[in-house]
Amino acid sequence: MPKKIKDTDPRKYLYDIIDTECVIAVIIDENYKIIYANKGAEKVSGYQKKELLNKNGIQCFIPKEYQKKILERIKRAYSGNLKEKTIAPLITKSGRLRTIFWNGAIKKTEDGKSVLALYGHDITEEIQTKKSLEKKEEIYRQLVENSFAIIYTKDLKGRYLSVNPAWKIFKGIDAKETINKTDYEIFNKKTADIFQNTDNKVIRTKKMYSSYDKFSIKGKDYYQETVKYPLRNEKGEIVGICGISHDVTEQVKAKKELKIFERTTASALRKSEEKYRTLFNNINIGVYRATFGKHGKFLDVNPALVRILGYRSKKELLSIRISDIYLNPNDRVKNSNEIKKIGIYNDDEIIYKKKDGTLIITSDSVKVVTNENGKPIYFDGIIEDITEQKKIQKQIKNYAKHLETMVLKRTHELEEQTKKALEATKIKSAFLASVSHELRTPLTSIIGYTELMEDDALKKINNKQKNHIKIIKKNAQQLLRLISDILDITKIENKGAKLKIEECNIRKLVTEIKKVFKPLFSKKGLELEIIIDQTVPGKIKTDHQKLRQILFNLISNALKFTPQGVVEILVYSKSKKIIFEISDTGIGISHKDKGRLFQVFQRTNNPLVQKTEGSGLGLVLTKKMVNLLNGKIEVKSKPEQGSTFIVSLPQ
Amino acid sequence: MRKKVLIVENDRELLNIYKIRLEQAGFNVFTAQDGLTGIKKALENLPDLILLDLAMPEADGKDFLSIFQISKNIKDTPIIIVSNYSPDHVELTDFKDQIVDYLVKIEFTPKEIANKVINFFQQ
Repeated sequence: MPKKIKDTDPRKYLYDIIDTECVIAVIIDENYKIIYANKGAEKVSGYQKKELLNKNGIQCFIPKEYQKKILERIKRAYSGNLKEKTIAPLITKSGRLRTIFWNGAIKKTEDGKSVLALYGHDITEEIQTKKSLEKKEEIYRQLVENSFAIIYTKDLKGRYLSVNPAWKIFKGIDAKETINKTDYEIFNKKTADIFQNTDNKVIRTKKMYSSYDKFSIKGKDYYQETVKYPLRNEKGEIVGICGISHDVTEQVKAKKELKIFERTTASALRKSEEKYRTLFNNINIGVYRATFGKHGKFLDVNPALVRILGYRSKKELLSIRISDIYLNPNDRVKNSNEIKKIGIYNDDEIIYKKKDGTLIITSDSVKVVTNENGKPIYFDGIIEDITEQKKIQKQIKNYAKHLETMVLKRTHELEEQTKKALEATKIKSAFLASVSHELRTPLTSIIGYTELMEDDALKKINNKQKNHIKIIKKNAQQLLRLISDILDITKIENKGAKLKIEECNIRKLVTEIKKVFKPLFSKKGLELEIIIDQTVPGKIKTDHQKLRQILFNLISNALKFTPQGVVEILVYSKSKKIIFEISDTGIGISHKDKGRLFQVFQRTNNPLVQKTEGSGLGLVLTKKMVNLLNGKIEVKSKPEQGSTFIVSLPQ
Repeated sequence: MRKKVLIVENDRELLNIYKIRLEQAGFNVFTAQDGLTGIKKALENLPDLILLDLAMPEADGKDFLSIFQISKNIKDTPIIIVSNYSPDHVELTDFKDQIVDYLVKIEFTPKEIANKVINFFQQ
């Protein structure tokens, strides 16, 4: 203890503190050798007092990079600036660094030497706290700088004090144009009013306030969620406002679109649902959803199914067991298991029992509905009542069968009739042939004797008798021709006429016919013109005799029915057919008569025709012969305008 | 020497007419009403021409021709067929050497048929 301090001096109590750990006290000599160290020094360095003494205080305890700086400060103290403060690191026994705040003073000892007395204070913890604080602040600064949220501060007059970069990104306004300006100087009035309004609420209530605002900047709409809170100074007085705004424009837009989409989809869904619901309710086919199981229950049924199964209401049908509508309840189990197994079936015919016990035949289709794991949960099905359909089908079947029998019976009858008719025709033809033949012989005799009389009578009978004989002969001959025609027709009908197909020279045949007819025409004062076209082939294959007869008949007819004028025969070839056209300038044929021209014993009512002799079978026979030669005959005529008969035969 | 003509015709009246006509024309006429009698008369009289009907009872014209062909003495006698059938319906190719004419009754009167016989001998 210094001798200068008296016992009465209160400072003497302070000396005790040096011997505690509260303070570091070290004294080093001019060579920096430690000559004193207290408990505080022991604690901070980790060395014992005896270990510390005589050690070089600079070299042993100060890190090399600091030694120079420390030594300069000590020199400065020696050179007159007696007191120095410095912060210096200290190496402890365990090698750790502690930061010490030193106060030093140069003192003169009694022997005239100078020593450096040092008081130190360990501030390691305080510095570390400060460093971590600085670090935190940096983090916050970066947060603010990089935040997508718009962060800003304003003073009480509404002037912006700071804005972060997000401000520009979202509001499109440069930070420089913002600082020290109010909302009214930056935005339009409506927008500024919104901001100002929330500012005022924060200042008035002195509490945090959050809002959701819609506003426009430069004509563009924005949506923002904002939190504002009051800024206070150390005294707790409100000095401004801090705001954090989050731009949600894009989200709102997306939400809006989603809403529209949802609304549209919902509407479409509703419509579709309504449609199916209407269908479900109004369709005439039973539709249901049902559970599996031994008995099973309907989960939903449409009105048609209620009707089909004969129940009073949907409620009633939902209350019954499905096995109840089966004729045999065991079938239900079988059916249910089958559905589960195969999943689907279509148009199965199943008989169900209605409520009143009557049976109906139905066409069933079923589809299993499974949950997301593929496990069957229930099944949907449709039931169509086809009882009536079946009845009708059966009726139709029966009717068809009946018809079939009828048709068979009728066909058989017709066959019989045809057979009989054919037989009758055959009998008729045979009869006619026989009769004709039998008639012919006596007629020939009559003609023969008449001729004898004619020849004999030249001398013995008078002219009147001679005329009578002539009439007998003429009529007998006509009768003979008739019989002959009948015979020919019956032959054709009985297919008794045999064709003799051979090569036939048309030109030669026509010339021969001309030779025969020419005198007959001249006698009647008529002209006969024959034109054979160059297209006519030299020879055709046909029955020469039949063709001859056909042409003879037609030319004879023309001769008979033409009182004056010309008969023209035109022969030409067309589409592999040979055509004979026999035209006259005769009496012609009425439309009515044309139809029956080729029928048996049909002669017209024309008096001229009636006067004319003929069997009435000539054209019938002609037509039959033309048909026999695979040809066709037709007639073009008008009364008083002549007729044209056209015969076409294959070449 | 008068020419001999045999008429084989079923119909008695027709046969008579031919007979009158041919006798008037100066022929020696023999007649038969069936094929068998016809053959008998032909063998007895050896005619210069035969007028033959085809449809007859007993032996018909064809039978006549069959027997006629194997009878040495008469087999070369010329024959005129007089028939109701058209020649298309009668198969006579075996006898074509003897048949000099074929007359269909419907196409000729008895007078014309008789004239055919007369014409045959005049040629």
